[in-house]
Amino acid sequence: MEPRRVAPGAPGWGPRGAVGPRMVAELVYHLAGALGTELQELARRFGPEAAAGLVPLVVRALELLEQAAVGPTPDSLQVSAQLAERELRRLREENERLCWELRAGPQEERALLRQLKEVTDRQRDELRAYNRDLLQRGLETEALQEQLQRLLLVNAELRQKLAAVQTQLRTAQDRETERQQPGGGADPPAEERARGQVWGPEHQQGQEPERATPEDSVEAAQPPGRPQEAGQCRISREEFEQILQERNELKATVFLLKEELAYFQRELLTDHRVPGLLLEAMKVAVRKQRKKIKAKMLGTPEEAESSDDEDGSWLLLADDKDPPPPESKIQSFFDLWYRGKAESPEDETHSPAPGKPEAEEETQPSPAPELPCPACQEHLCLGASATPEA
Amino acid sequence: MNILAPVRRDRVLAELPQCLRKEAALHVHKDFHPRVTCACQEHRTGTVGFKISKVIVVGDLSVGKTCLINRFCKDIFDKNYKATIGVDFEMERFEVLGVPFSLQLWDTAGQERFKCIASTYYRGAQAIIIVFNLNDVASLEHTKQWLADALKENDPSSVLLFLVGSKKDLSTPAQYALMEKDALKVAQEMKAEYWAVSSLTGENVREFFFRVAALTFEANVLAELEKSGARRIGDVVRISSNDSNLYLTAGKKKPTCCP
Repeated sequence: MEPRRVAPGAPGWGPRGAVGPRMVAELVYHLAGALGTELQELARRFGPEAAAGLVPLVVRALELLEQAAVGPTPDSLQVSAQLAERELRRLREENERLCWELRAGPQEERALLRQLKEVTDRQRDELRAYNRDLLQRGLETEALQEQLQRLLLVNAELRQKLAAVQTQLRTAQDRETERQQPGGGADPPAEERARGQVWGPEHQQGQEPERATPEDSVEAAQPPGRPQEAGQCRISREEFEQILQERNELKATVFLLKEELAYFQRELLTDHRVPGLLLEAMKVAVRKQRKKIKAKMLGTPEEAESSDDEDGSWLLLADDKDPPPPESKIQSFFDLWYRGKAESPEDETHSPAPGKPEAEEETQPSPAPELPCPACQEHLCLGASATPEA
Repeated sequence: MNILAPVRRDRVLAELPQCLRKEAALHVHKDFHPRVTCACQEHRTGTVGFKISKVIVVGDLSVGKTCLINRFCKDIFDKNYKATIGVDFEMERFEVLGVPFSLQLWDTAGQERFKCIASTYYRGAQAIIIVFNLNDVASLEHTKQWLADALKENDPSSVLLFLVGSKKDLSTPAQYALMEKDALKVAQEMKAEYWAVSSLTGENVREFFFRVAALTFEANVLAELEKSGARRIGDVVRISSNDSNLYLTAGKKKPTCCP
């Protein structure tokens, strides 16, 4: 028994560790064949019953061995391969998508950046322009301020003069009042009284809260708040006329300065930049016009003569009455230039005695009227109606 | 170029302000004289734009001459009486039909003692405004004397007259009606235009001065046009070598819009 047991198994058992699954399966079939032979031998020697119980068990064991050797079934492999393939496709698609996205992303960003840069550039340019404009305006403002300063100075000077004149006037009044006081001035009060009667009804109808009683009608003529002692004051008529004249002149000057200031302000604000050469000419023209207007306002004669026919814009009156000799065609064509040049020195010298006899209008006489005027004949009563400054 | 700045917007006259009463008006035309309108449109107003017209304001003391001027020029009203010493003036600039035009309003003293001084300033007036108090008949009577004095220094044929009743706010409608009747008569006699105003309330003040400005301007332009005669204002002098007449004007052809 011993040799048989060893003999069939001997050839296949040795290198078991090195064999693949197919080899294992073959070994299993081999084993099955050997076992079958052995079992047939048993049945033949000891009757079929002897092996009957053993056969199913061996078959079962061999089946298990075969299964183990052969591995999983081929259809399950196929399924897993399909699954793997699908997965691969999906992953490829996803990869592609991601790649695309990766490519597209930066482009969009770049466009955005470009836009941003453009906007920034534009804004910077605008800022620079604004800066320049601001600078320009600053310069203009400075110029304007200078001009303003100058005019303010002139204005202040004039105001000072005006104040001085007023003070002078007041002092003169006070002095006269003092001188008047002891003498009593029998004449003027009587005159005042007589006039006071005339004024009476008006004053009662007037709106002044101060009602004058008939007795002190002299006071009625006085502005409210003024003490009666200050009522009588005399300054000479000549002085008075001078003061009046000076006041009028100052007022005219103030008016013209205001206008000039407004003019320059407007010029500067409306952005009319004037070149230096022109500015000089402009200034001269302004000065001339100012002189003319002032003369008209004050009715002074010397400028009345030159007022109408100096400037080019008033050319209509240029030569109505006295046509120049025909040989001077060229000169008469440039008449305005010639006249302008000829007259400017005259303007500057302020010639007090004009050569031409004065025109029919605008010939205010120097104040020397020969009107009958009792109150003004030698002296002028002032105080009673003077401005009530304390 | 003009150094005078543009005038205030509320001093611009585009059309002729109308009179107060047709019975006593300098004229009752609806519009400016056609020649004036035409000249302004063609900018042929010559020196008028540069002109300062002198207007004198006379009348009894305390009738409100200064108040009237102050109400218009400064839009103020001072209740306190402050006599004017001698004379004073205010400038008021207008723009009539697009042409700048200035009025110099001379405020004179109403007091007798200043009359001789003030009268030296009467000369060269283009308009005379005689003011009286609507509540004082005497002041109306005195207007004739004021007019006579003012006309001594001026040409009666060319000067424009205005008779202005002041302090209208102080009279009741009945009193006013009575006074107006007298005043209209006086105005008609002196050929003046009648107005009634209140410097306190401002009633008619603006209207009145606008009327003064408009009529003075109109008269001024007409006089200017008259003076320039055959040579029309603003015409260009044309010169060519074979022209026998150097002063032949370009405007010899028939005027297109002026009668």
